[in-house]
Amino acid sequence: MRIHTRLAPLVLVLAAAGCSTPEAGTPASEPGTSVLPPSATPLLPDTTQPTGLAAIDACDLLTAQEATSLGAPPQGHADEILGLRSCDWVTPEGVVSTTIDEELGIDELALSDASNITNVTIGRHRAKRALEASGPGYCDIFFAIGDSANLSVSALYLNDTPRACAVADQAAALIEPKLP
Amino acid sequence: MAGEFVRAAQLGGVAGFAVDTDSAREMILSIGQVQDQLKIRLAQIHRLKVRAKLGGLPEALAISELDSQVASGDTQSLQEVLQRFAEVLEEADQALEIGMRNYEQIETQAEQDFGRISHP
Repeated sequence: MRIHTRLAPLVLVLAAAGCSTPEAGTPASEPGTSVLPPSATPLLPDTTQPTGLAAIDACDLLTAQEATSLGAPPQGHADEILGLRSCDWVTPEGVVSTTIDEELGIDELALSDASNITNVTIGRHRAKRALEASGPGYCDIFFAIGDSANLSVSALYLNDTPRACAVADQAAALIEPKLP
Repeated sequence: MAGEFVRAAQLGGVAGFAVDTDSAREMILSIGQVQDQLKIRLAQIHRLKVRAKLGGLPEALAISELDSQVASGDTQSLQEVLQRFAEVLEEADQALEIGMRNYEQIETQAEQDFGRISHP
């Protein structure tokens, strides 16, 4: 959905350019418009080359070795729902997840059900650490990526919050250096 | 219900629950697969839930509302139902482990009894 929004101006510009493609040797038909020669630098950013969070694959945030160090299998299970790109590593007792959210800043998250929320700094990043946001056994660390995006590391070990937080903290330390 | 299953298994012997090793292992494997899927579903619901109330995901808000309404109109949310299901599966898994051991004990006992009858 977000990609479509970003691409919309490009589509309009390309459509307009298609309508005004001049014959060789003829000037542009509309005053103020121009057609770039093939070698010219494009005026629009190249949207096919994602930057920042868009360039990150949620399953690449933990290497196979890092995943196994958390008691998880080497490969995670990729998922995308409602624009949230995520990866779940299922362990014998729980699940560790990474989620890329390009819509909400960490102060916009619905954490009112959490039993404890602390503002922390991990490496270069400001983060929120939330315990039991969905009940006992849930532990999340939400990294701030600018003001309107976040990347979270979550662990779910039903009814075992200390265990979940131990895993989430360990995973967060592994992931933080890879964040933009 | 699965709690009863565990208690029945813990009785052991003729009064308890027993299941042969091959069947038990097959059932435990199946339960494990369901458990893994359930963990992923719970993680999905959680990540939508924390992004539902204040932010820009209207679909997530709808899911959050569904979460609080589902489960036959009582106070349990979808998440709570799935968590309870996960607990039940865990108990069933434990019961099968116990039932498998019971079966092996019964088999061993039967072999010993047969040996005593054959070679008094």
